[in-house]
Formats: sequence, C-alpha cells, structure tokens
Amino acid sequence: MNIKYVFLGITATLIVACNSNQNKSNTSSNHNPFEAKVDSILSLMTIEEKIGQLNLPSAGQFTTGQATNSDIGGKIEKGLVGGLFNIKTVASIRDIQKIAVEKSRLKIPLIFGMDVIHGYETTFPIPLGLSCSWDMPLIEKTARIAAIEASADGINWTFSPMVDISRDPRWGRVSEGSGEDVYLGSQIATAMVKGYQGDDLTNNNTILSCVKHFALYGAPEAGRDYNTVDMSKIRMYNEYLPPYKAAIDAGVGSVMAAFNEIDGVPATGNHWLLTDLLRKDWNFNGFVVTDYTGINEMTEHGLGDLQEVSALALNAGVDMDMVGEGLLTTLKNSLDEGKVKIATIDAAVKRILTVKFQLGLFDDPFKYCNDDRAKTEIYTKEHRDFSRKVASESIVLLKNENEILPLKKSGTIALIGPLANSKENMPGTWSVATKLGNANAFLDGLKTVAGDQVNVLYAKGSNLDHDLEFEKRATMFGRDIPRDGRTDKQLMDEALAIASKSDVIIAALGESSEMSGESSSRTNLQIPQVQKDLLNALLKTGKPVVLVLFTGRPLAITEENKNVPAILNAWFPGTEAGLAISDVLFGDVNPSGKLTATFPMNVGQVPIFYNHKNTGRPLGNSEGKFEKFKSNYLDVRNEPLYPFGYGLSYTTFNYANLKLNTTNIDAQGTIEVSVEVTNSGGFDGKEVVQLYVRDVVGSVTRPVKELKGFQKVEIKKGETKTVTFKLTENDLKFYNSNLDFVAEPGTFRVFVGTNSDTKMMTEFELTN
Amino acid sequence: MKFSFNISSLAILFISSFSFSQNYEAKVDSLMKLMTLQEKIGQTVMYGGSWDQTGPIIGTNNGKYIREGNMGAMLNAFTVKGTYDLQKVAVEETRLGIPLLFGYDVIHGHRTIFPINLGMSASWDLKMIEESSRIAAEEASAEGLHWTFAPMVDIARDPRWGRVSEGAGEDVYLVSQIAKAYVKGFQGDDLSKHNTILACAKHFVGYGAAQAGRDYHTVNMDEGELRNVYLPPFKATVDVGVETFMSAFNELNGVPTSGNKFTLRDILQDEWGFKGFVVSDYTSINEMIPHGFAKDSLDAARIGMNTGVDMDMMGSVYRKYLKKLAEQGKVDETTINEACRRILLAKFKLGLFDDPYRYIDKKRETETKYKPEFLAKAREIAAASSVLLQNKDQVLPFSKSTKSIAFIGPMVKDEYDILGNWAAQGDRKGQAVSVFEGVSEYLKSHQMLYAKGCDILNDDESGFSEAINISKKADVIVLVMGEGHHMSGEAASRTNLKIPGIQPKLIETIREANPNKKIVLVLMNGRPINLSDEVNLVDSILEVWFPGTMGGAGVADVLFGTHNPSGKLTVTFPRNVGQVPIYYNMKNTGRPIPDNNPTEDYKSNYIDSPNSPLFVFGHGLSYTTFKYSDLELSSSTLRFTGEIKASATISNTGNRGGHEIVQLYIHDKVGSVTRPVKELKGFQKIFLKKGESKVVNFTITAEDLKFYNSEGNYTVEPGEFEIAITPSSDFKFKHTFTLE
Repeated sequence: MNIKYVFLGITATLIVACNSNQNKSNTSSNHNPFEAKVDSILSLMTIEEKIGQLNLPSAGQFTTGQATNSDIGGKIEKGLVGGLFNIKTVASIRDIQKIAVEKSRLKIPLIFGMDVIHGYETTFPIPLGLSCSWDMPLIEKTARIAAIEASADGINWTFSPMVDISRDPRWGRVSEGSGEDVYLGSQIATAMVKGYQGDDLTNNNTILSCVKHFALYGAPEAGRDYNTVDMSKIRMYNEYLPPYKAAIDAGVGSVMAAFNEIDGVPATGNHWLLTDLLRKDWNFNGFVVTDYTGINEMTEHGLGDLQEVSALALNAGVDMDMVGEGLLTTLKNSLDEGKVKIATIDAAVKRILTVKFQLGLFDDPFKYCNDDRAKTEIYTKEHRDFSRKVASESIVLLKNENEILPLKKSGTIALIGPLANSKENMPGTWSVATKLGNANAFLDGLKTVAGDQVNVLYAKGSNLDHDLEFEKRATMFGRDIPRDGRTDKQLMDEALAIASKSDVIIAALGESSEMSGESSSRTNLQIPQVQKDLLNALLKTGKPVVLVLFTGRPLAITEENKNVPAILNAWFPGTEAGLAISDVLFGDVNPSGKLTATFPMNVGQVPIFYNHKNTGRPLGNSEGKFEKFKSNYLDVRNEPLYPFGYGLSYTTFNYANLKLNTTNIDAQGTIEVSVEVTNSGGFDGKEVVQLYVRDVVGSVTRPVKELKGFQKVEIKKGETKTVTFKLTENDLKFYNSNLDFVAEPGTFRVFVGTNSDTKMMTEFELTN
Repeated sequence: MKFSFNISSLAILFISSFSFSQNYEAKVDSLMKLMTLQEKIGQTVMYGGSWDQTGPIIGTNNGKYIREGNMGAMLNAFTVKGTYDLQKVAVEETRLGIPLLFGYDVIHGHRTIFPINLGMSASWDLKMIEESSRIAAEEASAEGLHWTFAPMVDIARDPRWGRVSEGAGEDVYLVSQIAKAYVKGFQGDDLSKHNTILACAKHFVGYGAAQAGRDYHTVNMDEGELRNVYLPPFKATVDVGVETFMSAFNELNGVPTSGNKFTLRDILQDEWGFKGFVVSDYTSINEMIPHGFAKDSLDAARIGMNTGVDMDMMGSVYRKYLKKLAEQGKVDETTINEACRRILLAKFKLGLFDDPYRYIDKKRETETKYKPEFLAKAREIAAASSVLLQNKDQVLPFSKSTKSIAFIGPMVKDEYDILGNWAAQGDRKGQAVSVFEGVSEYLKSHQMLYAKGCDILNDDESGFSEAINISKKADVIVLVMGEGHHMSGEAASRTNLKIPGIQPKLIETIREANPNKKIVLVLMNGRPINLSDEVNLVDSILEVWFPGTMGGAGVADVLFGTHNPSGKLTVTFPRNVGQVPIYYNMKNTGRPIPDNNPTEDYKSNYIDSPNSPLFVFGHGLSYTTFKYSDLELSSSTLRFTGEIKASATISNTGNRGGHEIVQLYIHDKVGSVTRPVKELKGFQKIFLKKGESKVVNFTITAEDLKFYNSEGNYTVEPGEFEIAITPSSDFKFKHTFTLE
C-alpha cells in the first residue's frame, strides 16, 4: 500500500511543497533550481539543526516499531540527523522517516544510504569481474537494476561506484574497482552513475550515486589497506583522477572522501582536493560525505584532536560526517571559537538539502517506501536472468590448451574444490543486501546446465586453507565454507577417488570472497597451498583438468598456467554463479571477458601495469631474457603472466589491414583507424577490439601504451568485420608538468589488437 | 720514479704565474679567455679508458679526442703508467694543455676492499666510514685517479632493488651523516693534495625509489616525500663541500633527472648554491630518447646542457652537438661557459694546473696498495659491519677449544663474491681472505670440517650427502651462504628475496639431519633477505654482507668473540617480498593496528602476514647485554631558540665489553601534514666495559624538528613531540616534550 504523505509540518515543508515539478535537474549543473526553497528552510534552522543535517549515523537494523525508542530515534526527533545508512526494508525505513517528518521540528526528511556495490539482492559479479565484460550498456544496466531493487526496499542513496584505479593486487579492494586503466575506468564510472541515477533523480526507482573514494585510495603503500599514498600531482592527474572526473561529468550527486592521505594531508581534510580541485576546477555541486569515521581518523593520522580535525574537514569541503559525529559534537564550539564560519556550515547544509530536493524527498519523504514495489521488483526472475548473462560475460578464459573447453554435455565430470559447493561465497565481497543462502552454488548450476546426460560427481578435496585461524578470518560475515574436520589427506583421497571415475576434472579453487574487499590485503598472491597441493594431485591423475578460479584480485598463478590445460577465471560471479560458469564451460556462452588488471608472474613484480613508462634502459627483447644494464630483474621476466586486456575465446580472431585514413591530423582533425577482424575459429563469438596510443616524445615521459578506444563486436564464425575507431586531438591530450591538459605535436603510434600486448602498429603525426 | 714533464703549452705557462694564489675563479676566467667554443665543449666530454692485456692504453679514438681538445675527462683510466700516457697527450699535444680529469667507481675501496656500503653503514661508525674512504682515496689517487663516483646517497626502501647494496639504507638522518663522512674521507681538507680526490654525490635524485624495485624504472613521489626523505642526504654532501654531483638514470615525476630543471637548477644550484659540476650517469643524457623526453641525440644534448648537466659521461652528444646547438641558438654559449668553468675550477682545486702529474707517482703507486694498516682497518670494519641478527642460547661466540666445527656452504671458501659488487680493483683471485681462511687463525685444521654442499645458484644436490656427513661429525655447524656478488648492485634486481638457489633446502636438510645440534648461519648478501624460514631452522644468524678483502678475518674475529658484534641494521628486513616497501619511519595512517589486536578487521593490516618486519631498522645483537634506564629530559619544554637535553644511562649487564649504538628517535605528534611515526634524530656508538654504565646525552633544538610542509617550506611546528633513547627502532614512546 502507498503511504499517503500528510503535510503535518507548518513551517519548512509547507514552504517547499508548492511548485515542486521543476526538479529534473542534473546535480552538477551550476544552476540550483531549489535554491530559494533551500534558503527558506535554512533561514528557519537553528545551528544545531544545521549541524544535524551534516550527520550520517549508521542505523543498524531496527525491529519494526522500535525506531522511536532508539538512541538514533531521539536524535532524529531533535533534528540531529541528516541521513542514515545500513538500514533497509520499506517497513524499517518508513518507521524512521516518520520520526523525521512527523516528530522533528522542521520535518526535514532523511536520506537513506547503503553500500549497493554490485547489485542489491540480485547480485552481479564483483566490480573487477564486471569490468572484464568491457560492455558499458551491460554495466549500466546492472546499476539500473541495483537502483530499482534498492529503491524498492526504501533506499535512495548508494555508496557506489568505486572508481579507484589500482595497480596493486595485494590491495583487497582491487575487487571493488574496475582495474588499472583510467580510460576504461572512466567509461565504467560514467555507466554506473547513469545506471543508478537514471535521467531523473525524482523517479522512485532512481537513487543518488556516490563516487568513491576520492581520491587515490587504490594506491596504498605496499598494497596494505588504508596505508599512505604518495604520488606526484602529474601522476594523479594522468593516472588516477580521470575516473572521478568522469563521474562528476556524468552528474554524480555525491562524492566520498577517502581514508588515505594525499600529499601528506588526509583526503578528508584536504582543501586542495575537496575544494580547489573538486568544486572549483570540476564544478561539482553535490555534497561530499566522509568514509566511515574518516574525520575521526585524522587524529590517528596526526592532524589534531577531534575538534581540530572536524573543523579541518568542514573547511576542506566535507559536508557530511559518516558515523564519527565529529561535526555533530564539535562544530558549534568551533563556530563559537571562530575556527569555522557559519557560511561554511550553511553551504554544506544547502548542498545536502538540495540533494534531498533533487530526490523528491520534500514532495514525498516516503516515495521510496512502496510495499508493492518491495514485493515485485526485488530479486525478480528477470533480474536474476540478467545477472546470469552478465556473469557469463565477465568470465575470462585464461588458458585453453587443446581446446579442452567447451565441455560436452555427456560423460562424467568430477567437480572438486572448496569453492565448488558454496552458495555463500558466490556473491562476492560487499554484497550486503543479498541473501547468501539463495545464491547458486557452482555444483548446483553445473548439474542444471549439464542436464541429464552428464554424471556430476563432487568432492570438496580440501579446505579453503590448511590454517584454521586464517580460514575463519577468510569466511566471516556468513560467507562460510564449512570446515571439514577430515585431514588434508582424507579430503584429497576422496577427491582422487571420484576423479578416477571421471572423464574430466573441474577444480573449483581460489580465494574465498572475504579474502578480498576492504581490509583484506594479502602479501601472498598465490592460491592457498593446500589447494595447490590438491590441484597437483589432480593433475597427476592424467585426466584433463579445468581450473575454475574464484578470486577478487589478480593472482600469481604462474605454476598453474604452466601445468593446467584450461583455466577459467570466474571472479565471484554473483547470485547466479553456478549457472553462469556452466553456461561458459559447456559453450552455451562463448567467453569474451578480458582482464582489466594485469596478472603478475609473482608478487615481487608488483606494481605491474601495462601503461608503464619506457624508462631510459628498456629491455631489448620481449622473451624475458636477462640483459645486464637494462631495466629488468635477475629472476623473472618483465612481462606479466597475463597482460591487461587479455582473454581467450573458444573461437579465434585474426587481425589484419590496420589502416589510417590519413597520417596527419591537426587540432581540428579526426583520424580514422580501421582494422579487419576475422572470426577464423569454429564458434560464433565476441571480441573486445582494443586500440592503444603511444605519444612517442613528450614534454614529460609518456606511457608505452594507453588505451584510447575499444569495441566489443560480435562476429559469426567465418565472418570478417571492419572495426573503425576515430581519434581526435582530444584523445591525445595529457596533463603536462604545469598540469595543463595539452596535446603536443609529434609522432603517435597506434596499436590495435586483442590485448595490450599487441604489436600491430602504425603511426601518424599530430601537427600544429 | 718520478715522471718528468715539460711545460710546453701556452696555457700552463700563463696559469703557472698565478700558481700560488688561491683565486681559482680568476684563473679560470683568464684560461677561458683563451679557449675556443670547441675547446670549452671539450671540457664537458668524458669517455672511458681503453685497455689491453697489459693495462690501459691511449686508444685510437681517445687519443684523437684528447689531441683535438674534445675530451676533458676520462673514466676507467688509471694506473700511473696509463694516466701518465694520457695526461701527457693532453698537456703536451693540445693547444692549451689543459690536463685531463680521471674518474673511477671507487665505491667501497679501491684495491683494499671494505664491506659493501650497506654493510659499512651497519657499523653506524662515521669515523670508521670516513677512514674507509680516506684509504680508498689514498689507493685510488696513487694510481693516478682524481675523482670517484661516490658516495651513492640514495635512500632505498625496496630490497628488490639491487643497488640497495651501494647505499647506506633507508633512513634520511643516518644516510646524511654517512654521506658527509664519505665526502670528507675522499676529499680530505685540501683537494690539491696528491692523496685527496673529488667525491661525487649520486644519483641525483630519487634513483632508489624505482618502481617495483626494478633498476632504472620510473620514480614518482610527491614533493613532500622528495624534500623530506630523498633530498636531504644530497644536501648534506653540499654542506660539506662535495665537488661533483651525478644526475641519475630515472625520471622523476615525468621528467628524466638528467634533464630536470627543477632538481638540477632550481634546487641544486639556486636553493643550495652548489658550485661544483654535475656529470651525467653513463649515457644518461642519451637515454632521454628512450624515456620519450628527447626527440633525438641533438635534442638530448640540448636538454642536458640547458638543465645543468655539465659533463656528458660516455654519451658523445655534447661532443657532437653542442657546437651546432650553440650556433642554432638552442643552447646559450654562456651555459656552455658555465659548465666549462665549473669543470676547470675542479681541476684547479685538484692542483692539476700546478702539476698535471701530481697524482702520477710510481713509487707511491707501488707502496700504497694493500698497505698493512689498510688491511687491518678493512678487517676491523668488516667485523664492525657484521650484524648479529639472532643468537639463541648464546651459541656465539665460539670457543677456540670447540672440538670440531663443520663449515658448509658455497661461500665458506669464497674469495670472489666476498668483495661484493662494484669492488673497483679489488682482487677476486686469492687476495681476499675467505671465512675458512679467517677461521683458521682460531682453529687447528683437525677442528675444521668443510663441505661446499651446493652452489649459490644451480640446483645440483649432489653435494648434500657430503655436507650431511660432516655435519653429523661436528659439534657445531656453520653455514656460510648467500647471494652471489652479481645478484645485487646495478641492474641486479630480484623479485624473490630468499637465499637463492637450493641453499635454503640445504639448510633444511642439515637441520633435519641434526635436529639437536647448534647451527650458525653466516650470510653474505647485498640486500635485506627474507629469512622467515631460516630464523626457525638455525640458532644464530650473523649477517656479514659482502665483507671485503679482509672479510673472512673480520668475520672470524666476530665468530670467536675477539670482536664483539655491534652492527645494527640500517634497512628493514621484511618477512616476505609482499610487504615491500616496508621501513620504520612510516606514517601512522588513519587506522593503525591496535597493540592488543594486530589482526583486527578494518585496520591497516594484511590477512596473511603481520605488519611488522622480521628484523627492524636499528636491530643488532651483541654478545653482551645492555640495559637502558628511563630517559630524562632537562626540560619538558623546548623553546624555538633554545635546546633541551635528553639523557639515558646505558649499562653493560653482560659479561664482556662491547659497543652499543644508542639511538634517539622523535615523533612529531600533530602536524599540518602527517608525520612519520618515529624518526631517527641522533645516535651514539659507545663502548662499555663489562659492568660499566655511561650516561648518554643528546641535545635537541628546534632545528632537529624541522620538516618540509605542504607549501614546500622548511618549518617547525609547535606542539607535542615524543622522544625515546633506545637500542633499535622497535619500541613504544613513553616521554614527551612540548615545543613552544
């Protein structure tokens, strides 16, 4: 049933209720159509109520009807809360919102946020996996579906997308991003924002998006989460900031400040970052929220006590304080002591109120509390079917010797491994709204897709890790892989017994979902040893082995690549995991995913990424032969195990006839790059055709290659398609030492191919 | 014998009339008035010496360039005979007779080789380090050399990088002190003396922060990091009058350091007022082409000269293109003049215009090599550089009466790798004292069993059985293992930090065969090694780095307690390569791990490894024990212009005399920018007799608390500071003072 919103308020809500149809605004446009209304509310607010709008506590879940009596309920009543997060369901949110709009003096509605990262109850692959689809409409639709489900459950704000570029697989949150490339990362950032926010934020199925973590969070020293970030401005501008900028340009309504420091000052208190860059240079008009206790943590960073760091945060450009209540408890004192200005507080309040208008909350604070929608729009068959499709598009085929894959739907398959029969680990990290027990385990999906002609045998084969304590840590938050009390040997023997009866072995190995994500950094990038032992034992049987890898980060699987004939990287595929993986294994879907993060040979190569600089002493050979006095290692080649953009198909694609329509362009010109791609194998398939550019000489050193275009094309077997890209001067621009965005005349190389290691190249000149 | 020479050329005659004046500037001016542009350019050109079987020769090209006035300096040309022949051409066969400058990589000794620099830094003994470079200068100058490409003062926090071996570790304060000691030792008080040589601070700048620890790789850091961590050691060398700088191979924030106006002009010249000259690294000007920063060689020469690289090492681009660039107006002639002036000034300071053959003296050459006192010093330094990492049950020191010791490992009898990398003219063919040879001073041959066991790198296990056999016969086992000398140093980066090859397997095998026997691991290596497995397999670990010519003797002195070890690590030893970079003076972050729950979720930690390293910066054991009293402060308040004293009483509570390196750390609790959790701000190496106590005092002024803030200002901020006097960087602060 729909809640009829009754205007009980006599002050603020009345003033704003009239003339409410003009709010189809883009949050980043300079004009604020709600300004008059916002101002009129502001004029009614006490200082406490203003500061209250800046406060974002974590709600936790209330039993229906209990909200009023809670501590937070009391605060809301007093006008000391601007929004809440970590709460869902229409009933709970309605209860809380009622306190705000019925019991608080000014009846300002709350905003309700949640970490809706890769789907809501219907989950999609982890973002790193999703990025491997290189399919923008698909990615946008995942965010759209997430917004529909979340908004149907009462939520109107998501802390997503995370667009942190990361080049360090040790960092656990590499799983939440879109990999290492700024160009691709920017496209995905745009798609996600559009998906969440839609065209009209006032719709009841669009939600406010929050780009995070601003900025540079993906470059923590030694890959350790929350650790120090250190880089020059020019690196920030060229290599880390573009995806945040893309989200701003796409109209994202909010920005989350990061935990890390930048240039010695934590992002949360960094005026240059949050004001000079974000608001002045980029014209961002939405609001900035901290990360969880981000203000308080500036005390640990060594910037001062809570009052000092709270004032620092506000003055730097923070508008909303997540959880820490630093602003709530200290701003008034700081105002009295002249450490902050009322105008700064007012500006923050106005930004938050404006967004509430944009969401339509002042028209109807309960517009996201629709019981019918909650029943009909969450975890629908349609959404789940789409999740299955997306998951199959995100899977990356890393190796397929002798075309072991696709499998036939006949014979006996031994499915072995600690990830083979886990529902709870399939949705992946940060999937807080999903029902873990509903996810499709690999074993279940395999049986379904294989059909009656296949005999599927299953054994666990090993625990996730030999070390019980580590395993506990790695299977928190209900993401269990129940510990099997048998010894490693007993488990392995059982696996070998079923393996001996099979025609093909599928080893479902890798990480548990909680081995990546926040606060889950690793120094070791290998599959846990007990699983490697299992895999080696399976290989010794002589039966064909397919490794289906579950992981939230690039792993160092150099040995596996050498020994296992087929490797399929499934990431954490989401609620429809088993079905999607099986669709690929049996060839119902021909894999087309391409890596968006480099897989290193070993952890000692880290950071390793495709768009590195050439150095003054580049290695003269690509076979990995050591050369003295060149930039290389004594003990491993420079090349990674799998480069950025890498991924196989069941068919093969041949590239030919790389052509330019001209070899000279000027600032106004456009150059067309075309290439013929032929499907020369035995299956229809999709190929992500990639275009890279190298600026040969610059006023600063430039990367050896930079992705500047890609197209995902479907090519039937035997068919040839001509793929055309257009490049203009704008595509050749970069930030120089003065941080001017310029293109410099000179020679440019264009590379086109199936991954970033492509050698197919031609050149053109950019002239003045 | 002495070479006689004729002063035949115009310039020398002209110059010599001024020879008792110290006004070199005026002399340079008058000389430069006589020089053509081409001759000035010639001074900026350096080539390598040619050698045949018998020694250095003039060589066709070099002879030509010298005669044409197209070369001002040479590297890798030394020996009295070689330098005399070359100098004679320069002095007698060129129009102006300007003498050549001879430079060489004299890094940790010339003939008498001292421990690698990383090892020497572990002595924390500035006097000893200065003595080592003094001796190196004696030996080098006696062979005609005027100039060493040392010290390397690059801070390095990444053990993958091979050149960590050439530096003094990770700490900015210690590296700065050591940098000064080296420079003083090389240059002495008077450069015109025949036994002092020019020092060269290298590699300017940031070279130690190579991406992924891969040599020559990209360097990127914010300006605060550059100024607070990487620049100070270079500044320290300028403060003690270093005469030359070497630009580096790497780029810094997008601009190669051999073409970097910001570092070479703005900082080095304008901010620091450096008056000496800058030489490129080996072809580093040319390498701006593959960097994608210079279009071609002409462009590279233009950028190099215009940004302040005064001399082109091996690149030929100055020789070939500077004249053309001057003609085209792309390089101002005054820029070339300035480069030439700086180089000539150095030659004047060396006294080469008074006597171009000053460093060429056959008698001195013969008498100076491997002097007994040099060797004695090398032995002392080798011992002082050793770090006792672990010593369970006081296995060390050994008694001379130990019935038998099994010496096992590929480096027991090594006289080759023991010199380490960049060992100049150190003899690798028998001059060096191996560990086995060193130990034989203490043991009779019947007490010594030996098996090589395996090689450093290959995987041949055939020697294992013999090693097991002798290990079983002995009372105690000494494993001497490590890296080959070529596994660290230039272009020698590793992604795997373990003891190489099958040596770890041999250790395991020996332990399995001798579950209850005491095992001592003597390690030779050029970087921090991952010893996570070994700490559990062996009882004692003595890190001896590559200890040099007298290495085996110095190590034996430590093993048998003649020298009580006192070395302390100057670089962090990680638990595994996945922790890298790891160093003690990190930032706190917003989510530091709680002491009582280091694995707490949502704190800055790993799920598979502790944050702490295996061995911390400043760690090193002794055969005795030291007790530190509580720290005392003369005042809890420090005024901007004042000073306070921090003191602690250190007592030797063990049963033998020993040196202790007492370390002072400070933490700026709150800053306008985040500050390191602790920073070394002082140290003293003291000797305490058994039972003796000493009060160690440190004076702290506001100057010690300065740092570069966000605006690039060198500043000190009032507030609370924590302070500690401790034996290593592993401690918790308990004391504070306030700066007002």
